[in-house]
Amino acid sequence: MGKMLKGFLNSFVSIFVSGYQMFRRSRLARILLIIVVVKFLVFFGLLKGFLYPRFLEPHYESEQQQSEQVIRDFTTTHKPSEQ
Amino acid sequence: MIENLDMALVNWSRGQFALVAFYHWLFIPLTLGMTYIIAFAQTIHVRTGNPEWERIAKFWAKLFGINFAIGVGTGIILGLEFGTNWSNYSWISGDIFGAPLAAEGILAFFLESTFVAVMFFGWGKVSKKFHLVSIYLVAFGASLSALWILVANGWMNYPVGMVFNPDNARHEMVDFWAVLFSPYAVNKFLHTITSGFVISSFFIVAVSAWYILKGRNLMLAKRSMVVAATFGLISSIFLATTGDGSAYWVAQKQPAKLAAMEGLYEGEEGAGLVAIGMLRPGKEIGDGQNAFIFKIEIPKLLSVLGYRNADAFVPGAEDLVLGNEAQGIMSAEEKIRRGRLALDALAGYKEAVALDDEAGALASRAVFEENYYYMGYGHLFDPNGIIPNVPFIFYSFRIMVMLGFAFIALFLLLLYLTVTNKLEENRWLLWVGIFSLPLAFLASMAGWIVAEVGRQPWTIQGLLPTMVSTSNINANAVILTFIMFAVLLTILVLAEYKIMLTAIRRGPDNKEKGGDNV
Repeated sequence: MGKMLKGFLNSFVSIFVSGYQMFRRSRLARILLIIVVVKFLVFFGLLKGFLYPRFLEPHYESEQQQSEQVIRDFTTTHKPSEQ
Repeated sequence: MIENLDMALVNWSRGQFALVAFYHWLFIPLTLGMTYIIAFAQTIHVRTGNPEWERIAKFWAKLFGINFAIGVGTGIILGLEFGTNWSNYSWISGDIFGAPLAAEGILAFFLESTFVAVMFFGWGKVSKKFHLVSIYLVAFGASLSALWILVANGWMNYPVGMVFNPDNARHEMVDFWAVLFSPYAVNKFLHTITSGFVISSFFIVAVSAWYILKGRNLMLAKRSMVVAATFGLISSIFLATTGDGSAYWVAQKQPAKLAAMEGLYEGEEGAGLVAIGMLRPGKEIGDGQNAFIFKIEIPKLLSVLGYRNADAFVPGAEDLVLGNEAQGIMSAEEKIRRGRLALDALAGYKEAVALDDEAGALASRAVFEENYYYMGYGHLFDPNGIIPNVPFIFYSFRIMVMLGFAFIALFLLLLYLTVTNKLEENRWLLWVGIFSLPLAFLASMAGWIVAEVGRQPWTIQGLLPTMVSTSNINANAVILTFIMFAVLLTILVLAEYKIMLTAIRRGPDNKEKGGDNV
C-alpha cells in the first residue's frame, strides 16, 4: 500500500514537473496558458464575479419572491380564458 | 397582460443563446472525437511498440490540446445565460435541469480535467498503460459531459419524470431514471456525440490530406487517414441509424417539428419522404396552395421512418393547427383554450391559498391539473404559432441529411484509396477531404437548427413557450452582453484558427524542418 502510494506520488510530481518544464520550454504552451488564464479571469472574474451579480442578473430577495414573480409572469402573459 | 411581453428581449435572448451555442459547438466536436482517435493510435503503439504510432498520437494530442485550451470554459457563458436571460425557465425547470448539469460538473468535468493533465504531461513520465488509460478516461469524460447536457436538452424536447408544483411554480423531479433514460435523451446523446466523432474524423482527414498534397509527413498522414476514415465511416453509419431514431421520436413527440422538417402541410396516410424539393415562398396554412414548386419524393418512407408502418398517417401542419377529428388530433385553438383554463386556474389557486380559501384552492387545483398538459399553449396568441419556421427547418434538415450520406461515401472512398495506396494520385479527393471539414461543421450546425429552431415556440415542449422563459431584465442589457460575447468568442475562434494553423504547418514536433517523406 505504502509502495503504491509512493509510486502514485512520484508519478504526480513527475507529471507536475513535466508540465512545468513544458511551459518553460514551449512558446505554444505558454500562449495557451495565457489564453486559459485570461479567459477564466474574464469569465469568472469579470462576468460571473462582477458584471452578472451587479448589473445583469435579476435580483430577488428570496426564493419565495422569485416564485411569486414567475407565477405572476406565468399567469399574466396570456389572454384570459373566456369561460 | 399581453403587453408585458418584450419581444425584443425574447429575440435578443434567443439570438444570444444561439450565438454562444454556435461558438461553443465549434470547439466541442473535436474534444468529443479526437481523444478516441488519439487513444486508438496510442493503443496500437502500446500493443506493437512501434514508435511512429506514438508520434502520431502525440501530434494529434498537441492539436487536441490547442482546441481544449481555447475552447474550455466557453460553455460557462451558456450556464450564466440561464441565470440572467432565462431565469423564468431556470426557475420552472431548475429542479430537473440542475441535476444533470450538476452531475456533469462533478462527475464528468473533473474526470476529464484530472486525466487531461496526465494525457498532456504524462508522456514517458508514467507507465504507458496508465497513460493510455488516462487518454481513454479523457475521451470517456468528454462523452460523459455531453451525456448530462444532452439529457437536459432531451428533457426539454420530451419532458418526463417530473410533476409541476403549483405552490412554487416548479417542475420537480420524481423519477431521475425516467429523465436519464428517456428514449429521446438517449437517442439525442448518441446522435450528437457521433456527429462530434464525424467532425473530428474530418479534422484529421483534412490535415492529413493537406500533408499528402504538400508531400510532407506522409507516414503520419496516411496512417492517420486510415484511422480517421475508419472511425469516421463507422461513426457516420451509426449517425445515420441514430438519425433514424431521432426522426422516429420527433414523429412521436414533436409532430409540428416533423411537419416543418418535411414541409408537410396536409397530413396523409403512407406519406412519402421528400428527397429534394423547393418550397413555395409565401405558403400559408390553409391557403390551399401546393407547398412545393417541385419535389422528388420517396413513397411511403416518411410513414415508415416516423411510425414504422408504411400506411401510417403523418399529420401535417394544417392537421395540427386546425385539428383532424378523424385522426383524433385536437386543434391548436382547443389546446390554447385549455391552456388558458390551466393558467387561470393556477392564478385562482394562488389567490385562494393567499385567502386561506381551502375549497376554492381545491377547485382551482383540480381544473389546473385537468388542463396541465396544455398549460404552455395558454400563452400562445395565434394557433399558427405552434408550427416552427418551415423553410428554415426544411432546408436545414436536407443539408444535414444529404451531407451525412455524402460523408459515408467519402470516408469509404478515402479508406479504400489509402489502403490501396492510390490516394496521392487522386488529388481532387484530397481537396474534397480538406473542404469536408467546414461541410461537416455545416451539417452539424444544420442539425442543431433542426433540433432547436424546430422546437419553437417551446423551451419545454408543450409546457413552456420561449417568450415566457426569459428574465425580467432590460433588453439593452442582453444587447450589451450579446456584443460582448460576440467579440470575446470571435477573438477565441480567431486565436484557435491562427494557433492551430501554425501548429499544423509546423507538423510533428521532432520534424519541424523538412518532414519525414516516405
